[in-house]
Amino acid sequence: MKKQVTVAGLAVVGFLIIAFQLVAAKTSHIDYRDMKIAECTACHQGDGISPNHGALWVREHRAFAVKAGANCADCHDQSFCLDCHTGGGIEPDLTRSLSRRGEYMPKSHRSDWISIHALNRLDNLQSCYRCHDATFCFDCHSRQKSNTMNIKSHVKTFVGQDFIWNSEHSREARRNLQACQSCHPEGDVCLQCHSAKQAVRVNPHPKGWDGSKLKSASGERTCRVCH
Amino acid sequence: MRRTCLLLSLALLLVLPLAAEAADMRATSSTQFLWFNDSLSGQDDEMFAEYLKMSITKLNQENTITIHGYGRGTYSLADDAAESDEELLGRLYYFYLDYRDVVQNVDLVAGRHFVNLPAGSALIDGATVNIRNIGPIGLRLLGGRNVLFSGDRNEIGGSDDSFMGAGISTDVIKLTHIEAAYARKTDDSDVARETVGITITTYLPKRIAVYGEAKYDLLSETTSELLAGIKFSPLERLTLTGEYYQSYPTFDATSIYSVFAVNQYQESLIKAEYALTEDYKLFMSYAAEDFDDGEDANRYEAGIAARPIADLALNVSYDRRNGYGGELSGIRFNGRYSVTSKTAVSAGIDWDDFRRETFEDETVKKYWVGGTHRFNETISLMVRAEDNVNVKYDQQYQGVATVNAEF
Repeated sequence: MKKQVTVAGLAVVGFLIIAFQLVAAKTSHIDYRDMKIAECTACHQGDGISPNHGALWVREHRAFAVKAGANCADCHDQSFCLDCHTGGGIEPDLTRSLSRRGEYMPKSHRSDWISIHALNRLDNLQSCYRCHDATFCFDCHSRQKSNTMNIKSHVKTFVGQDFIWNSEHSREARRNLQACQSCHPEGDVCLQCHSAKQAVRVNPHPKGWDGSKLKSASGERTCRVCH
Repeated sequence: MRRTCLLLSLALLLVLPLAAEAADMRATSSTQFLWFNDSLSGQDDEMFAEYLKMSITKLNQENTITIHGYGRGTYSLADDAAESDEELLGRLYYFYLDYRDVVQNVDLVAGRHFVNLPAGSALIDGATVNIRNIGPIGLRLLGGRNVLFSGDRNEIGGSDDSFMGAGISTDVIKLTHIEAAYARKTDDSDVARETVGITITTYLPKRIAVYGEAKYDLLSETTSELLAGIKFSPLERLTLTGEYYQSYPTFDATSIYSVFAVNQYQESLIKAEYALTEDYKLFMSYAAEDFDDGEDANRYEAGIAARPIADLALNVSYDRRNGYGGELSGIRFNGRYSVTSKTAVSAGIDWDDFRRETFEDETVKKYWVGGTHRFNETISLMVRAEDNVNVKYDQQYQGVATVNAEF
């Protein structure tokens, strides 16, 4: 037993020594920051490393930028990230347009973004929330009349009929609940039917709902809205 | 009060470099005049902006201490800005001290700075401690006040809004990075989010990269995001990428929307990039999107970046989307011609045609033209003007003129 512990101990020490050497050997890219991307690619390809910073890099960069000790900071200041993520504008770039508040928009926000965002936002809703919080949407949507946005469940079908309410709103909400939040941040419209305190009391929770962690996290304040 | 603090911080950005005489200071200033239209109110607006970024190095003998700052002040000429006392506004993007090797293998960042963990990211007023090489692992600990910028250009978020997290990473396998992290966000003292995340990137032989990340929301007990991708270069000039992504909408625990049932979103993506020559590069991608309940969509994109002569760069791309939500197809074209080594002109067109499920067909166009001129090593000028044509406007001009200085 003692021998096995010794061998195991030596193995761990050996592993740590090798690991330490490997970690310490990580390459800094600071000396290469003024090189052109093509020059980086040529060198990396030769070493058998898959290239990056290609034409579609804006969409790809997240998974690589998030890691600890990422090489991004060797070439870019934080302003490079924040000019897109928080609307800065110190990097002169002729291809970037202005928002309705005079803020610079990322290149992904092309043409008349306000008009086409209703479609583009469907392509992975999470990407909007990497830069904007929910109040950002409400700032505009609170000043829009719902019929100008022509949401399917908010459109009148025939004279005398109100909305495509029952058949559409639940499906729309499940696929795209953030859109509901952008106009109704407190969910007041939802609670007219979905509250346990009033009216028809339709249960909004998913199957197998266990809200105990949400309950304790919010100090019960979310639960008490309906219960 | 907060506006005063921000403006004081911006003033400090200006003054601090002067105080650091012995140190090496680099700064970039961009003085801008912007004219634009608030499409919601229909009002034209004009604004002056001063962006300032600076970094100070060599603050100690070992050059392990640096200070970085970036902020802006804006002065709006719009009538409603004067009425609401919002003519003069400031935004401090970051202002932090970076101290490498405070003790051996321990780095400290303190002040306002951007943090990014596999479990979440934030702009915080706080500190990050980065402990490198604890044997085969590294450790990141961070926390502070969560800084948010609201739509009306002001900073929001009280002292009870916080973001904290920790990450443990290893590069023990050659060319492989693995990090697991935990993040917690509070909203007015209540816990709004608690997330764990993991990210993996590895470079295999023969120009293959494999990457993935996952986020698990501890409060709603769901996997909020999952990404797995592989990147492969079978030829030196060809790169192929395949990705699978899924997400499940999650909300702050303090929001009523956190209790509602939602659908999962899935996306399968393939991409190809090919360099015909150094001067002609092609790319294309296709994504299949699944919104659950039998609804799906397809997204295509293709483009070319060309440099037919040394002084001319051209980019053109086409993309198309159809399926759930509606149809959209668009073309983007832009070019840049270097007239001299100091002067360049650029122009571009964005054209989109789209139809939402409940809308008539609509077309939106943006035409823009601009130019840059460098007077000397320090001063340069940039001007851009654009015209927007859409359902609201037959003509709507906006643009920006900037004087940039590096010193």
